[in-house]
Amino acid sequence: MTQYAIVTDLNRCVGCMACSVACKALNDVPVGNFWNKTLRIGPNPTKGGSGQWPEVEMYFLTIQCQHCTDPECVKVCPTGASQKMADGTVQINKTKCIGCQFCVMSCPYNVRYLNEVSRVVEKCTLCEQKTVNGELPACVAQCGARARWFGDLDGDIRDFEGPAHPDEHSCGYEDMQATRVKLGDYVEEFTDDDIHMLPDVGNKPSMRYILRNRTWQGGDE
Amino acid sequence: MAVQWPLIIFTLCTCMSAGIFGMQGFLAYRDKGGDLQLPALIVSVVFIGIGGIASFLHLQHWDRIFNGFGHLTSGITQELIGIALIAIMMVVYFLVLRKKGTVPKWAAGMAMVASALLVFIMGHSYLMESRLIWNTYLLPAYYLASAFMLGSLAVWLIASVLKVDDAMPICAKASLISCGVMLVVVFAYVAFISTVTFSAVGYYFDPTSPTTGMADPTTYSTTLLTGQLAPTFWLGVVAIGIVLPFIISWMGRKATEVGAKLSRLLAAALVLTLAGGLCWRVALYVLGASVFVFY
Repeated sequence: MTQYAIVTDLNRCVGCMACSVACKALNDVPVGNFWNKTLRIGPNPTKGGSGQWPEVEMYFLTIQCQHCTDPECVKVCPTGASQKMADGTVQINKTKCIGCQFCVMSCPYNVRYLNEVSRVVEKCTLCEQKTVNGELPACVAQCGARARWFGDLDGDIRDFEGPAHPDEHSCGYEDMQATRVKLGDYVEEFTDDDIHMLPDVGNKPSMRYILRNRTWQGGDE
Repeated sequence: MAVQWPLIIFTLCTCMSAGIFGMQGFLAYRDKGGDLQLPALIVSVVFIGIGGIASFLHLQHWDRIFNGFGHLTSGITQELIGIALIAIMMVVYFLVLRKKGTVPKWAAGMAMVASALLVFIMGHSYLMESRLIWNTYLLPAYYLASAFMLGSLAVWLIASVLKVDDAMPICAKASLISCGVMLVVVFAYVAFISTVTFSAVGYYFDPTSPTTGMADPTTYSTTLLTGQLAPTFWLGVVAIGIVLPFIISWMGRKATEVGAKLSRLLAAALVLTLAGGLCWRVALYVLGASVFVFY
């Protein structure tokens, strides 16, 4: 069983929103809709801290469809337009969607949007048009801080891939996009306790977030 | 969450329709109200029709309505099946009524069970784990109480207008009981809401919506009783939607003669109950935030 997902290293993310822009540009996401958005979480007090500088911490949190293992949006869809695919992603057959928006209501993360023009619900597709050809999702390919990694969650997340030159830290853009490195070889060391996910209300989100030396906010893991 | 008016009208009209159908079934089961059966059935059909049209208006692509509805885990599919079944039962009820002049006990029982089932299914379709305040069986319980209250008042009004004397005491009693049931369910729901806790991340900022303030998940537990929704709750839901209909029902129960005055009173009570139902449904949409409440 395959479960495509994205791992985001929040210690590396600088909140540049290149992922959001890349997603918008590639997928023609309408104005006002965000298949991928970035929140700033914090500043919050450090553990035991006063909440006054320098005893504060913050991080950026990228949020998109979590391509859940047990997606509620698929269960509530009356026409079967929302489907769980063989690669683990949740996709919408737009010709079947009647725009009832029950999937929007059932999504815990508010990442489904009604396209006001086509009047169907849309969301992150994990760039299936690219991944089916062996490419990386746009948000991963364009991540400015090499914080985002794409792979199969059923494998080791250290094997997730991102675009970078394996040997040179400073190479040309074309070279970088043509080569890949593995998360485990590239990012700073982390433990299983550093791996987090968004609140799970039974839907089992697939996206993972790495956050070291800071308090993960939101809980319910 | 944005208020979804078509769905509010749908649930209100479905409660009204099922309530009337169930109440007339109850009367028929008790061998009462023979003369109001057909008019009540017609009113019930009209309301389910209005509800159906309202729910279609919620769909963005009703032209694709025949695309599917085959996905049985979907609450909408279950609702559609429920409405189709109750429509068939209404036709059967009508045919039996026309043929025999009275409603046999099996048909009366069928009307009561089908009405309760439809309302339960409708409420159940909104139980979503992501919407913490909706995700309780108190939601279908509320819709059942709403159907009970609307149905007893509406049938009482029909009985009053048509001067069907033998149905009046039962309707009056049902109406008073339904007000009590509604009060209990609503306050049980408020107690449940006060226990709900949302995901919290402390300070945060959404750069795509820079002028919007931070959501405060802690306000959801108190907003009905003392916060922004307090006027909607105390005035709309409790005073207008439950207490006044109860007082009017009490006055109506004491009324010695059936006449236009009683009908006007009952019509007012029905309108007030509809207004109260509207207020509660709007409040539930305002409170229907997802567990991840931040944008």
